[in-house]
This record gives sequence, C-alpha cells and structure tokens, in this order.
Amino acid sequence: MAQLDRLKLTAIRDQLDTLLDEAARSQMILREALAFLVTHEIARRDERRISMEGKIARFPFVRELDGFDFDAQPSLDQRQIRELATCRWIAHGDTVLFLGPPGTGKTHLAVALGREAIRQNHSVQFVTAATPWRCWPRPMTTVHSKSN
Amino acid sequence: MLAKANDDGSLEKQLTTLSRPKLLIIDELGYLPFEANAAHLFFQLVSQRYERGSILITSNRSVGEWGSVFGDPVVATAILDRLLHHSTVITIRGDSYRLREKRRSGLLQKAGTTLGTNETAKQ
Repeated sequence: MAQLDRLKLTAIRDQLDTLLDEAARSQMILREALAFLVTHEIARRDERRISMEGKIARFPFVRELDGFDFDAQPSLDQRQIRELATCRWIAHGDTVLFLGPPGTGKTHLAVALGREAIRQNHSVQFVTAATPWRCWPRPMTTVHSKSN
Repeated sequence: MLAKANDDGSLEKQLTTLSRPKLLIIDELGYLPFEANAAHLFFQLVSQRYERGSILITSNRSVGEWGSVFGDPVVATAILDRLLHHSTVITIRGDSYRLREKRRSGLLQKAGTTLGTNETAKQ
C-alpha cells in the first residue's frame, strides 16, 4: 500500500481488494491483471483531468453531445457535428460559428464540443459575450493543459 | 470604465490570457453591443488567434448584423474576414427548446424570429 502511495497509484490503492478479487474471479493471468489495474488507474486520472480542466475552462454547465436532442433540431446535420467532435478543426486552428435564435441549443453544442476538446488534451476557455469585457476571465485563470 | 481599465494595461493582460488556450469559446455574441474600445480589442484578439488558436462563437445574430454588434462596419468586416477564412458556419433554424413545452401547452402561439441567413456554409 505504501508503495502504491509512493507511486501515486491512488485509484489502484483505493480499490485494491475489489480489483484483485475481480482479477481472481475472471481468472486473469498476471499480465492481464497488470493491464487491468493500470487501465483502472488511467481511467480515473483521465476523469479527474477532464473534470479539473472543465473547471478551468469555466463552462457554465456540463453538457455532452449524447444529451443533445437532434430530432428537435432537424436543420442540424448530425454528421457535421460529429465531424466537429473529432476536434480536427481545433488542431488546424479553424473557427466554428453557431448561429441561430435563442433556445436552439447553440450553447449546449459549444460546451459539449469544448468538453470533447479537453478529452483530446486541448486547453479550453469559455467566456460569454453577454457580460462586458472587464468581466471576462482575469489573467492567471487560464492554465495550460498537457500537464499529464 | 473600459478606458480606465485600458490605461493600467489590464485589458492587454486579459487579451494575452484569452490568446493562450487552444480553443476559445465565446458564447452569446450579439446580446451586448461592443463599445468602440472593446470592438478594437476584440479585433486584436481575433488577429492574435488567427490560424493559431481556434475560436468557437455562438450568436443569435446573423453575420450580416455584426456591423451593428461591433458598432462599426469596418471593424466588423475586418473581424469577419479573419474569422470566416477557415471556418464552419452552422445556422440552426427552428424552435426554442425552452419555449417548446410552453407552446405545446398552449401558452404561446407560434415560433419566434428566424435569422436572415439560412444557409449552412462550409468555407
């Protein structure tokens, strides 16, 4: 346990018994068990990183693409949104504009794509132009990603 | 207020901060008109990020109305020129999901305004 602490393998440490039981029950060989433990640790770290980066990005709420009601917005091309979710446009430094009347899901899509970007290790900042410039994030609130 | 903030350089610092993230999401552009100073700084922001960092903007105004949002058609054109160069423009038509429930229950009559530009363009 102390060694797991020292290596900061906290997800494995916290659930060691459960994980070892599971490995034994599935009759994993040692190599499989090691991969199983490490995968668990990585999943927890990714989850933490996404939640932390989400706070830094200052999203107004949590929304995912999965929760978007595409049936309610037939003018939207779902494939086009899925293409944007690959974040290739971010790698290229491109721009995306969502235009439309209030209540058509523009902010939902923006937040969901922002979270997708964080998953792919891009740094993200969310600001609203409904407040004046001076209320936008101050210096020191942005932290670079790629910390892992 | 803006001019004052500008004097001590805090807006410039803010500009630097907003230039840093790989993706900057600017929500609800068009609700508030930009003061002249702010429009100019916004132009600088867009210029600094141009071809380096991505911007995602949501707006209830069509691109044609941005002249009045920024209070200056020249500045608006310069901003749009950079924004639209490598861009995907997605125009959502249709009902507000917030109002749909009310409409269903008979509180509201019909759908509200639609935008001037209706095309979904990939440029």
